[in-house]
Amino acid sequence: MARREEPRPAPLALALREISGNITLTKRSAYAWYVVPPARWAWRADGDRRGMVDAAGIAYAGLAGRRIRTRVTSRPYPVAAWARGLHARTPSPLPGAEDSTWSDNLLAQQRYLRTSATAEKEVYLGVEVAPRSRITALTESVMGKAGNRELAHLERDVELINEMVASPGIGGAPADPRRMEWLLHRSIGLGLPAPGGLMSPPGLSDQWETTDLHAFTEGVVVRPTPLGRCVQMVDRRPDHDPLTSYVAVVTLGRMPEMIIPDPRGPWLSATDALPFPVEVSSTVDILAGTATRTGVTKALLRIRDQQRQYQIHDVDEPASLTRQADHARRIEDEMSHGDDLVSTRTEGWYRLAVAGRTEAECMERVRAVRDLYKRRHMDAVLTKGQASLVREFVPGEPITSTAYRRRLPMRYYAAGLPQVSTRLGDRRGPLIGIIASSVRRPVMFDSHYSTEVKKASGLVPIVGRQGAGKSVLEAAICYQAARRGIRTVMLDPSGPLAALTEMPELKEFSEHIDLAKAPAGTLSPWAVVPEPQPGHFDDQEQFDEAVDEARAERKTLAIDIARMLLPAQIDSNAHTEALLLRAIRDVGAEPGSNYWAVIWRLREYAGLKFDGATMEPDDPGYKRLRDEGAAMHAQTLADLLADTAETRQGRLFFPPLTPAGQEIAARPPHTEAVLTVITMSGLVLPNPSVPREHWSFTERMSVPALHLASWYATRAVYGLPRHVRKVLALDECHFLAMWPVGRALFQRVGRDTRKYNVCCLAASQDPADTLNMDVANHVAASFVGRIEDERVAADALRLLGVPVDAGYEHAISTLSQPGPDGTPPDYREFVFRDADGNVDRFVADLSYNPGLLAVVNTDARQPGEGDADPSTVDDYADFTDDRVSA
Amino acid sequence: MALTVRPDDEVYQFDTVWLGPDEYTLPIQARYVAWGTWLACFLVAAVVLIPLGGSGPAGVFGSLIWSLGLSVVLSRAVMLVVDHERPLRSLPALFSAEARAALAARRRAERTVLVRPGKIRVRETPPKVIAMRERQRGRATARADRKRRAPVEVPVGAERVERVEPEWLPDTIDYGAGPTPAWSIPTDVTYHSDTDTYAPVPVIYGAAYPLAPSVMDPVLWVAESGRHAAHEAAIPVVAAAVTQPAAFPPVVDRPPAIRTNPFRSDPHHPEAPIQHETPEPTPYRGPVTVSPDGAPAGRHARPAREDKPDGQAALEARILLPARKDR
Repeated sequence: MARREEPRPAPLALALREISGNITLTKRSAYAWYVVPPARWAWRADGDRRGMVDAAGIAYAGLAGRRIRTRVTSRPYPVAAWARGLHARTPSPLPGAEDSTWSDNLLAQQRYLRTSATAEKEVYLGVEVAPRSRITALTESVMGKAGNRELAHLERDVELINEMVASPGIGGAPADPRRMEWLLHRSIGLGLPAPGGLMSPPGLSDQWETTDLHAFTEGVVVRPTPLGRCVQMVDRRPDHDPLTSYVAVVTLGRMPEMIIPDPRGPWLSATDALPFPVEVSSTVDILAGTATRTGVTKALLRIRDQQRQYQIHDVDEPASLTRQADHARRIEDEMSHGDDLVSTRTEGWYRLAVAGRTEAECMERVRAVRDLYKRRHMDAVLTKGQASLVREFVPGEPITSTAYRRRLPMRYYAAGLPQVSTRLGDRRGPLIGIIASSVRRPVMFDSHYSTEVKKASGLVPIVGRQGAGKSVLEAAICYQAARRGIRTVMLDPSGPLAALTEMPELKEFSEHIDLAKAPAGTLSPWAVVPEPQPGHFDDQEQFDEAVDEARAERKTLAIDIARMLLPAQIDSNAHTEALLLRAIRDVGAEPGSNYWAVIWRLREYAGLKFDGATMEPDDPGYKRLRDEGAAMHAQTLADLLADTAETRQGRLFFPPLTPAGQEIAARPPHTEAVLTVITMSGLVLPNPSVPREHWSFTERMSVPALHLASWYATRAVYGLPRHVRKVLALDECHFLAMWPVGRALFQRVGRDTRKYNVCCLAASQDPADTLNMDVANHVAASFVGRIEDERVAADALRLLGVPVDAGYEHAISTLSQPGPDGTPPDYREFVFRDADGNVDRFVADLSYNPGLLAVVNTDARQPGEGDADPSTVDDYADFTDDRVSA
Repeated sequence: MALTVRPDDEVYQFDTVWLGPDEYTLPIQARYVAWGTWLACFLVAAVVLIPLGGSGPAGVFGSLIWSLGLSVVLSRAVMLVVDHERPLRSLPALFSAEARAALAARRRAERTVLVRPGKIRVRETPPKVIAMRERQRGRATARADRKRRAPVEVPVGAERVERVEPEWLPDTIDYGAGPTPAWSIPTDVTYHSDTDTYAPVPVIYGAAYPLAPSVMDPVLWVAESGRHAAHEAAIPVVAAAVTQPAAFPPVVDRPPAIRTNPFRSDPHHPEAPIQHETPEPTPYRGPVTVSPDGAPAGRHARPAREDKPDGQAALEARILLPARKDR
């Protein structure tokens, strides 16, 4: 026989005959396909999880009598679309430096995403509509298409199914042509790389034709091996070199007893934890309990008969037989008397497909899947007949092997929850990290998503103990905000983040203000409270209210700061507050006032002139208080405040006694710099746990300085038009929470974030600050870093909206777990609650930007020190706390 | 709260063993299915072997002995494959699948099985079907109305819950949304996960985006060489730094001040006076020039509020007044 040179095509026709909308028709059956949206599982209470399982079970029970098919496939993260979206939402990005342009910045993030992020899971649900009669199938083969009458009949059934599938437990929506195309593409080319653009670009046409189907089936070649462990798939499309992958299908076998909700997560979502995509195809018959009771009764009769045989032959029966009889009786009872959720049963086959570039890699992945399920006491079996099993993944293909049929109660099946997925971040803003739990998904954070899109407040607390990486996260968010051209003001008391202003791409557009070197009087309480601007208000009444409020804030601030400046013993004197109140009232609340006027008043109350000379009762303006004790105390207060003005730390609060000094104090802090970093070198913050009486002078000075610096930074917000995007980053907010005036600032900022389009990042060591400051309503998103104290961790969970006492406190304390030798890891983990309410753990990762990483690298050691092994350098140490306490 | 659920498999997975006739227990115990398999194998073997064994009782007997032995071996082989998970009836499909795979593999490597769509028809739901369905709905409504005798028209299906489609960002160029930068890594082509290289995306600039290349095309990504083409960014630096986002409406009363040099080198020593929206700075009213007896300037700065009586001040004045009289 002559040998053929050309390979003869051996077409393997699919069972699929027609795709009409979301309905696929084969010769025998019709399926309606739906897309199941992702559901959140992580960081939820057990009650909620159980509720999810039950709701899903009830929804599936409504589909009793039908066969349903679940297909889980994946789609690469839409990196390019994300980058284009980010660019579109960035109207005026900074051009950047030569090697770090805005484009480079986006490209670096895209490259990182390409290599680091796993694909996103998509879950499709196909529900059998109605079996097709032979006549309609015959008509179709004659006419070439399904008849309109048949389709109308199907549509009526589909409407019922739509309602069931859309119920809360599943929440599925009919698959649009785009999704159908993706499903078919991924199913026919199982294990092959994901295709790029399908169909025409969006907006032009959402329809697809039979020819589109040809486009991705023609090049796909399946090469089975007899008794092989896997199937070779070849993609021979002409636009690229042939791609080969090896696909193996694993079938789930014996399943154990299960606790619902399963603490290890839903069993059909378990493969999310694997570092490679796993395709799932399950075919399940939903059986109403009453309809299938006969089968159980028959099984029970056979068990009884077997038991009788053993008795007749006087042979010990296997122990399992009794157990099986009991189980059968219980099932029969459930089927007869249980509600829909309890009585409904399922029979089905669960197949998982893994692919590798080589057969060895494929088998390696099969082992990984089997090990994964072995840990759950489930069998995952690599059966024979792989070639036919691969075809089962294509919609419309029948079940090829009835082996490994699983009979599960509805609750067990519903607990599989293949749609459980992790979704974190707004998918709009710049990249801030990667989800660290079971999957590696990118986390994006758009600083103004909450205020502009959600129309909510923009306060973002970042809490964590010392070294949790708060400053690194702040730096990452602020860096990206600045690169997007968003006005950013950072208050970094310890100072290392000032290096951001030296980065080549930001240098031209940023400014570093060191308050320690600022002119005297920069932090005068009267000057730091911004004067409301008429243009920011809709009418005169609002403006008047704001002016009154600003005046009240100035007074409160002046009193509180004066008390902070005094030693604790003097502050606790009964006269202190009354005298300060009176003096500051007399001085007034205009931006031009200052502490020298207060000192003057206090001296007057003591019967002294401003320069300390004694006044006679006959002198004009003699105001000595009648209460001797109060008069003496007024003198003490005046002297103490005057002494403070002479110190290096204290001079910031007292403008020089010249007109120019006053002008300096009244000047707003910001210029037109896009990024302003305000630092306070030499600031020594006290340990919050040490009583105030034991604070040193420098520590005492640092607290009011920090307060006023926060107010100073806040002025930037009020100095710009309301609609302009702004980012404000405050640090060490736990000191603000200790004083009423700090709380007032927090409340004011929290309240105004939406109105002024501000994203306010507030770093603190204690989540209770945010919870106690009446700003919980203004929290847009929150980040929680490592916290070891159980009580504080519980507060953090409240901030995240995660149930307390459900074991998550331990999860908070194990974030950024140090290595066995006690060294902190090279990364920092946070739990993030995004503006949409999703919560999960993620790793703040800046490795895509080495320049930024170098800036936030706060290794305290000097370069060239002995143990400075580059591999052990801690890139994420929290420099803030190191420097503050240094 | 937690609930334990067991699969139903166990109920169906028990061994129905035939122990023998009553009162006589067989030395071997096998499942009914094994007996059945053996019997089938024996019959087949006998049907095949008896004609081959020659005529005569000896031949028939010999054939039966052979059939017996062969059927035992065969049935044991089959029963090695059959278990609770792989019932006997699932074997034919398995064998046929493997046989087809073997047939395909016996040919040359190129002789592979091609998956082809065949005669698959893809279409949207035809309008006729939708119209037909509408008529059906109308009839159903009418029937229901007649039964209820209530002439209230409730459109069927209106109460259905409209589900909002979850957010999905398409991984393709959104031509409708506006200018499309050309420098992002395209996903519109197949990418090779092993080499991680990408082909460029053709970007259409035309009448729709006449200004597009100058503003939005800072760098052209060239996949083959992996480097950037020397297309300089055309982003106006100053505008990028100081202009407000285009999405916001312009503020009429306070136009943003655009300057050629928007940033001062030293914030505290400005070279030029800054134009702020705030009114003129308040005149200096520090302790040097203002008498402590003078009323706070702020009170007079806003005459509208001047006449408001200050209750607290009056109270304090009353408290302090006797002290002065005493002196």
